[in-house]
Amino acid sequence: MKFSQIMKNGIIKDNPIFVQLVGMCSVLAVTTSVQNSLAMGMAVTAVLIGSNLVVSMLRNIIPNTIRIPAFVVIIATFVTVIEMFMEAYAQPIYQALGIFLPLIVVNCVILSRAEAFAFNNPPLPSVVDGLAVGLGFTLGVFALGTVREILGVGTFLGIELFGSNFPAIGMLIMPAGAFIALGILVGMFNAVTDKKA
Amino acid sequence: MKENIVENSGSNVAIPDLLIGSSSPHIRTEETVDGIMLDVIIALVPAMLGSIYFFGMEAAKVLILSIGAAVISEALIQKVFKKEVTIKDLSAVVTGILLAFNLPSGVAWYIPIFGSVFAIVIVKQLFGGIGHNFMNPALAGRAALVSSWPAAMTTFIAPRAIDATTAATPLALMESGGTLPSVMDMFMGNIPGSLGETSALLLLIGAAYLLYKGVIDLKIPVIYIGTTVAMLFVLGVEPGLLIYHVLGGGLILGAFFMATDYASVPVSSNGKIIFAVGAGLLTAIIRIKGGYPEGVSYSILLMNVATPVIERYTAPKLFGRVD
Amino acid sequence: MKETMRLAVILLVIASVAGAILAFSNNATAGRIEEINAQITQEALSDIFGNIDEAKELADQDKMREEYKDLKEIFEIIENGESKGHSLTVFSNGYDGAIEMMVGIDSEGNIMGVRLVNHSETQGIGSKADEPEFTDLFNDQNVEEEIEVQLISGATISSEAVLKGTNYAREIYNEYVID
Repeated sequence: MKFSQIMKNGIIKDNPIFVQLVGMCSVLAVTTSVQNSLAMGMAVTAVLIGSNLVVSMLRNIIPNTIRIPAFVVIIATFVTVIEMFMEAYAQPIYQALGIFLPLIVVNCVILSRAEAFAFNNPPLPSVVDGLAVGLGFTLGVFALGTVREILGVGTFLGIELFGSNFPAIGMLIMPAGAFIALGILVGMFNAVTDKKA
Repeated sequence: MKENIVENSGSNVAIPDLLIGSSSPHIRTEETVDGIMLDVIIALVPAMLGSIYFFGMEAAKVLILSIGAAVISEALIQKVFKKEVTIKDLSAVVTGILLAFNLPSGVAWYIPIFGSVFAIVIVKQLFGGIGHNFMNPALAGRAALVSSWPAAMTTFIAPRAIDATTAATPLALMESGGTLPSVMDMFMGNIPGSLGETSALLLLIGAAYLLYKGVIDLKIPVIYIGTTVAMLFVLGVEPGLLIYHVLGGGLILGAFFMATDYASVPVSSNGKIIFAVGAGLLTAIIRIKGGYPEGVSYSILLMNVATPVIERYTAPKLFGRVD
Repeated sequence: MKETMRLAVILLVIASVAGAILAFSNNATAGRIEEINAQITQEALSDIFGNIDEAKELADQDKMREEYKDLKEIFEIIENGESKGHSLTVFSNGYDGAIEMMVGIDSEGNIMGVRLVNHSETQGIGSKADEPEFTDLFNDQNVEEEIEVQLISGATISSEAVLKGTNYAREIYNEYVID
């Protein structure tokens, strides 16, 4: 498979958020602001690249029967390392993401890539796949975070857009608004990509 | 209304033909969607005029914005989806009126507009349009508004006040312990509240018209209100205050005009009873034990969501059999 | 049996390598994390008390924590050799996990300030409980009596959590700090 094809699959055709709808828990919870969304997207991308690379390198060593526990150990290691470095060097974002940072361990985007791609492919394509799916995930949370922050708070990356009299739609910041906004975005994404295909 | 059709089928010789698998409706009646919607609008006219009498031009403004936004957004979204534009069936007008009835007068202009657009576009059209909405669009619009602008949605204006003083609703007064208005004032509608929920008399006139025309039947409203009262009593509300609970909030509006919405309420007779009892229990529990003084809208919405489950367990076992 | 051993050994190797990596990165970041947390505490302290010479950690805190599990730490604030008051850092359950908050109390028992040190309340809603419009409501109330403030409508859970945390700190103060 060509790298450009892997990239296209990860970002558009099999976009983890808009097409596969996996890893929704953190997607719905952290997208209350653009900053949190981008931080979450980058953390997931970093873990994906790392875990895909290691799983791919060890794919001939790890026996099939214990592959899932092995994946979980590898993913958990990357998540914990990233968590530690974020706490040390990006404290505000670490605080804002709260429990959802360690929960990346059980984010099925990552486990599904290890299982579906990295375990059967050489390291280089696996890294590209990790990057592509990570970017697809980041794109999704960024879009959702943008909609929710602009309409729900009236700001973008914390910058006030419409003045203080803007009647922000508070519902969008709440969980119900996350589901509704995500549903509409999924519909729009599929309407656009269906036409192209 | 739907039951009437089924009942007619009992004596209909054409039944064997209907067993050949075609999808419903099997039996045609003279009734049409726009005919029923027109009846509902006529039934809501007294309460509409009443709201303008009690709350003045502010109420008219809320009504116009809400109805206008509902109709325009229905037309626009159907154009976008390249569907037939069905605003002539008047269902958007009904949604607009019911939403306005759930709003306090004097709210900012964007509140009725956002509520109507949410009700029509997200709750109704995205799920397939008329007949496919899984919950009452007007109530869902109200819920979206309450979670977005909680303060504005609970700031009520005193009726017939010259300088628009804010005032607490009877239900809120009961929760906080203030002086209650007279029962007569509540029956006539001379109390603070949402546009449409204040005057029990005018709502009942409209409901009587719908009953006369056969658009709604008494089952859901009567069981709903009865269960609410019984449960309130069980929860320890003084008997003398029960009448305030019936007249002082949105119970009559909800029971007669929203819990009878065809699309989001069970079809079968037993299903309707379960729906009404459930809504009654929830309303009483939310009012007494919950954080909100009023529970009608959430209890109807919750029962709307439960409707598919109720229908699964109450579907008639034998074709053509009427209980 | 042999196969099982093989699987166990492979998992063991993977887990050991993971453990080594974690130990290494913990080593690399622990100092920095401690520094950052100390800095955050320091900022909150000087925000409440102004100039301070020394924040002395109170003795016997382990004993207090047996009864008050959500207590993090108590400092006595010293300036020019005199006690200026105490700061109590406690945890309170907010809408989205624990809120770590500091309550500053002067030597007369009046609240000098309430600050949220660490929280992940929803931006734009729960985060209102972190703004001076709300936290300043606590100022100058005396801890002899139950603290009361007007909660934020729309952010009831978060603001109530801050109120509860403040009263929690008040109880600890009354039981252990004042003589």
